Amino acid sequence: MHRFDYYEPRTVEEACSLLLKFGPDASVLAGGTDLIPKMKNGLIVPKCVINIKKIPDLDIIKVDRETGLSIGTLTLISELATHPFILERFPVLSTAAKSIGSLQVRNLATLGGNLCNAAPSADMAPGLLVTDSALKIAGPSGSREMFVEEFFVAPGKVNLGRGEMLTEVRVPFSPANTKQVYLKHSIRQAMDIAIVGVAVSLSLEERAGVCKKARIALGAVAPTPVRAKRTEEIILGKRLNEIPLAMVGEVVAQEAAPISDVRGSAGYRSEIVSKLTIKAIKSL
Amino acid sequence: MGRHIQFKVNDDSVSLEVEPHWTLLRLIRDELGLIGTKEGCGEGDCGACTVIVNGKAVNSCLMLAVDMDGKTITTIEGLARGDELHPLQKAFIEKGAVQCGFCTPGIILVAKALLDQNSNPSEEEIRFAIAGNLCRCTGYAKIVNAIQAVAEKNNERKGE
Amino acid sequence: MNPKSEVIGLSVPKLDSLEKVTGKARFGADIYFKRMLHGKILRSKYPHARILNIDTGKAERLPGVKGIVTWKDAPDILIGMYQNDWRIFAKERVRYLGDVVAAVAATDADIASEALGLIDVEYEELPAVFDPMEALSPESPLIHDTFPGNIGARRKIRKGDPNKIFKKAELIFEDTFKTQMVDHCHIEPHAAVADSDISGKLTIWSCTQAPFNNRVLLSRALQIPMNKIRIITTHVGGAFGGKQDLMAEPACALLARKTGRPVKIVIDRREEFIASTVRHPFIMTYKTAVNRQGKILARQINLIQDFGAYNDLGEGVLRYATLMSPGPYRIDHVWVDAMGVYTNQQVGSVMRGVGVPQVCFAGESQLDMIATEIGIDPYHIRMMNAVKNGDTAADGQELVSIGYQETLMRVREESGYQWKSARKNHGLGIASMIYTCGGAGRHDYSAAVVKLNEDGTVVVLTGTPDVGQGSRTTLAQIAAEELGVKYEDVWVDQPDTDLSPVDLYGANATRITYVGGNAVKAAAADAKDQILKRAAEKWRMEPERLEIVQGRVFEKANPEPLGNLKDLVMEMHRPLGLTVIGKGSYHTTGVPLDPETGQSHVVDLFLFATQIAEVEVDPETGLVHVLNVWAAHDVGRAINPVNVEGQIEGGIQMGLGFALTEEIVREKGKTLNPSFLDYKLFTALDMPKINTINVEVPEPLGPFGARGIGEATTIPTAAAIANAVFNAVGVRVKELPMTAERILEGIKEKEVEKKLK
Repeated sequence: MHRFDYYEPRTVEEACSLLLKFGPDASVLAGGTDLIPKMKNGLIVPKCVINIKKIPDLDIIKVDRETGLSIGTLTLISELATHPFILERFPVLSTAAKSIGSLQVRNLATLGGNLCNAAPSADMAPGLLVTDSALKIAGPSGSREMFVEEFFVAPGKVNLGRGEMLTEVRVPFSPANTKQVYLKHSIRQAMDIAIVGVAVSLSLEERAGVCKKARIALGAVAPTPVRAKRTEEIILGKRLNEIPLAMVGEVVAQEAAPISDVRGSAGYRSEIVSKLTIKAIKSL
Repeated sequence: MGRHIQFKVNDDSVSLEVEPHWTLLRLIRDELGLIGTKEGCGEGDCGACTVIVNGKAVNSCLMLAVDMDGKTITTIEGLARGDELHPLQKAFIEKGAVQCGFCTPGIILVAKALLDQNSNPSEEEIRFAIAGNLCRCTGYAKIVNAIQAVAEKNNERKGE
Repeated sequence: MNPKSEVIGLSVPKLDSLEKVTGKARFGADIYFKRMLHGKILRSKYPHARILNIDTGKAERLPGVKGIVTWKDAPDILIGMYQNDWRIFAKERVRYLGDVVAAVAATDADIASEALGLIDVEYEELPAVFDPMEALSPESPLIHDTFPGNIGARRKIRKGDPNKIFKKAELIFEDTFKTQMVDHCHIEPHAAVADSDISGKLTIWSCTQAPFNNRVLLSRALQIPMNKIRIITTHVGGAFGGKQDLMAEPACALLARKTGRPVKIVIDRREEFIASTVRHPFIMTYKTAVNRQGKILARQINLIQDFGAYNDLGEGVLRYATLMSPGPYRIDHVWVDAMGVYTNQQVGSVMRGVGVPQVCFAGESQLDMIATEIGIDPYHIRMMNAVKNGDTAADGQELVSIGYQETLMRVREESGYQWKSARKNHGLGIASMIYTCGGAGRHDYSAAVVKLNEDGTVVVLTGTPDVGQGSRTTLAQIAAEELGVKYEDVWVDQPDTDLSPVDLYGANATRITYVGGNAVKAAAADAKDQILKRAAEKWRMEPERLEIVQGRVFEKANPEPLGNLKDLVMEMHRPLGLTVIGKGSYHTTGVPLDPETGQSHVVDLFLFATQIAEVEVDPETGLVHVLNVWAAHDVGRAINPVNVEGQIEGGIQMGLGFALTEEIVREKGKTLNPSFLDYKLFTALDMPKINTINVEVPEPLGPFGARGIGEATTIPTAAAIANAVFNAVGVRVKELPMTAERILEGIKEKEVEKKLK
């Protein structure tokens, strides 16, 4: 690896002011599972590296019984995969976390890193999209919030201005009677980047059982993780066993825009996104 | 622009200056001379560089040396106690789980981290834990057997 | 029934496992010296180009750089193992992206990498060709001026007259199959350290699998005598054929000479995928005639082997592929025409099974297609056509003491094989293979020394390296058995070309148990003779009446020991001044193949195996879930049964990857997936249950009846999977890897066909 200037800010404010100062010359180091390989291969050559792991309290998971979860940006993926509350109430997140990399990678990788790396296949993104999660971002002019949906701009690019950093992810509780699932299609049973990722969250009315809120999010089949809003509309107002699955399959494929790469062809991805979405809904 | 760090490796306390661009793997092998930890790919895809840091199994090729300040690291060299092998080391030898031996230190450490946390894992849980360690020699079969053998012995002892 | 033995057949723990589990074992990258420099290699920028100029000035001035070498630092000479078509450093031409152009030694690896970027190479890009069929056409660029049509080598078999049969035959099948480029993926990358003394003597530490072969090549490349090159084999972190080449050593050697300091080069994983040798991709056409009962009447086979940029051992692989392509069957009429074709891509060389996993995939897939078409159980069609004792192989050699049918019967029994599964999308597939032990078609030999320490413990000197397969342990067991000592009293180390006796091919060609083992057995017998001669004098008996068992000397049939071996040996040293050094060797009787007919007494030993795979296919995604693999291998005699199982389990992992997930994906010669993230090896979670069956039909020529196992384990797997997938979902994939996409395509096509009907 090439040499770089190295900083260990102790507060969020310090980190933001360093980011403001160095702009595109700096890279943020959290878990390092994406940054370090890229630096070794010369894909990223930052003049300086800002290690944010010495900032306290960014790795905490807080449960507010009223509003929901607050997950610090430095929370380890391994923590998300095994946290009892998340396993019980947000399996769409713990399943996704469990599917990332290997045990060793999950012990290093962070939620913030998975999001800010902004791979189209980012496994944590679909689950956060279907739960209407929001991000807390700190910056030189204070903090702001945005929905996860607005965060992803392009492959590798997120909606962070100069001097800004992600500090927290807020996951609201889903309505009672919500069923959620995350399915990932990959070749191997471990280690693989998703060829297609699908998260589904369906909230059903208590008595009639019709779907009053539908969320579908797709990973690895577009430049960024995306919501499949037209597909959601097809499901709205229907009971689970009344959902026109064939139509769902057709429409969701239209809402995806996959490319062909070494992991899979666009045609295959289109087929799989249909089938995986149908499988996800059936599993609920 | 060296940084001074202090940390524990196996039973030793270490205090030295490191360059920020050094990985933990490089620190362990080239500076500390602990060559049991291996580089198989340098990108976190093979697990040969696995060590245990503050109780968690991690890829040392993905960590910076500077991040070790204040931490405790266990490498394969830290497993045996004097001339008494760790049960996993014994089981790997006895069950024929070692062929070329290059993946062995990494897998033994992941297995140790697994058993420290879950003393009675199922075969599926064992395979899931070692899924990040690639082996080209053994097909993993006897490695899984060795880990199961240690788990069984642990549980026998518990039952006593 | 195996004869009684003390240590043969026992699954003793490997003698080098202790150092491996404690992290003490030193592999190629684990050699360190003070003042050692780190080297990096600059490789070609284009898949095909002329080198006009190399300017190292700027790089040399980078602080920390201590030396840079190019072709100018070595003799101007071409070398190779079959054809002299290769230079250790490219001079005027580069023929693939991995070609070596320069190397830098610096005080640390990062500086050396930086220096590579400062070396100015002026190229004239040339048109390149990446497909062997294209390379054959006259419009294609010529990759080696002395090889017209880009044909690097040819091989033939002419036995009988298939064309005569085809004219009359009722049932003729013609199919074309393709296999992909895969990599050995030994988890330890290539690594070497070289040091040079002032006289120019090189000492090289390397994780090589063929130190003597390396020495021959380096001696020629550097034009120095063999006693000026010492290759010390470190522990080897897997090889599979990938470490018999010279990847790091030439650059290390030249840099060590230039700088006067030890130089280490560790190849990184990306470089392994881009520049190391690979398994040859093949295009194979099989034309087979059978009768209604399923008897194979004739087989005509055409093989195109993609050599890549250089011959390397490609011609040897061509020979193996040719010889084994007809399969383990009695066929009176066999014609094979095989060609190795140059392309501007990674160099194909030996990789576990050398050409036979490819032809086995083709031949065994087609045999199942034939069986399905005429309505005969694939198990029965194989039993019916199987070679038996006394039959001849495709090269005309008589087969003696073979266990092919045993492997078929045992694997069928163990697996509960049923041709048609009762469950949907579920199936079992069967495939068999024929292979050989020892350097097929070439003269092969190994020599050994068994020397006794004064206290009766034993050291075996062998030129064969252990690359993880456990050969040091096998040889220790053979020596212990022959000599009559305890296994624990025998030590076998890795070879050192200055100290170990010569061994021709190293850990290749499934030869160490057979060729190396026979040499060790002979050396141990020689040592024993010397000891018994002294014992005879001491106890006043004929040597024939004496034996050594578990370190004690006995009169045969008398349970009371005469004395301890260690006392006897100590006495021989002092005061008698008799040191015990046993020497032995073994060579195979290869006679060259007739270039026209491919017939001769080429190989000594044949290996047979049958594997059955059980799969479930997801009809929605095309993903294959492998549930079980049963593998029955005729090993003659399992010297160490657990180690044999370990080889089968590992070989199947490689075979499954070859079948389903592995491929070096390339575009215009550039590797698109040079990492373990996108080059997919089976993980522990992907592996099926593996059920091993050791078949033991004793080999008269093998040490204690043993043959070998190493490569056979990975040969039939892909075909077994292909046949299982067909039985599960009716899709026949004729190109490897059988990706989920390919299988899904096949499933969709089938549905369309069904609708049309």
